[in-house]
Amino acid sequence: MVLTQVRKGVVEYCVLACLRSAPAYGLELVERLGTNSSLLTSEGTLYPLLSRLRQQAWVTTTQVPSAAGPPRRYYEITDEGQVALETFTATWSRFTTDVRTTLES
Amino acid sequence: MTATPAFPPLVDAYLADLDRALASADPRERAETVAAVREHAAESLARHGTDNESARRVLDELGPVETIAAEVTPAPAPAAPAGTIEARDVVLAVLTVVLWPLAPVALVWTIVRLRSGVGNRVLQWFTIALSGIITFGGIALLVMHAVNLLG
Repeated sequence: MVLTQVRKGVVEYCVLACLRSAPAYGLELVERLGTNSSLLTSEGTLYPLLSRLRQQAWVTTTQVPSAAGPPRRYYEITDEGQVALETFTATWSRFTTDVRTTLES
Repeated sequence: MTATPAFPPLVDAYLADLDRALASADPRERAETVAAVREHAAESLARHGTDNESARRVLDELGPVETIAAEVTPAPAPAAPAGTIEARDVVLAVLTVVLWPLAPVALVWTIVRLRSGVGNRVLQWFTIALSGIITFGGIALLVMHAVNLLG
């Protein structure tokens, strides 16, 4: 319950952060986020989130043929997505510092 | 490029369940999510094999369809219908225009009908606007006339 609440509004920025270095397809993104990480409830929950990021124009998608299997949908961060990520990173840094200070006081 | 392989029945059933579970989701998000999960399953099966055991593992990792459905944005509620045009709404609108001294009566009556949810809302809002202008315009003219008389 606590984890579900904490995830809200955070995971989307973690996904954007994973796309900073290079575009990625779904399964690759799951691996970048960490297959056993607590960021996703399950791997399938990544896809509604990616759809919303695309609708917000924070990522774009491109279908790329794959030599090893079916075509892959690559997700790429946009300039708007970069700006949103930078804003979040600055806010998150201050927020976590304040939370830690409060919890350890 | 390799064509999308045929899925094991287990995966096909999962994708059909997912599509049903997303029935109340935003249509674009629903279509994109199902397509992306299908591609994820195809990619995973291409890596691990298409036997039942691999299929179960892929589906376990994707998680229950209900968990995915819990993450989607609900579809926007459809706009409330304007309602059918009833004779009373037309009479009230005509009354406001033709018998303008009765505009206050038409105004109150139309508000009552609008609040009770009967009749055509567009026509009712038109009548309210028209009778409101006539009523309050008339009051304003009366006040101005009274001020002139007193002055």
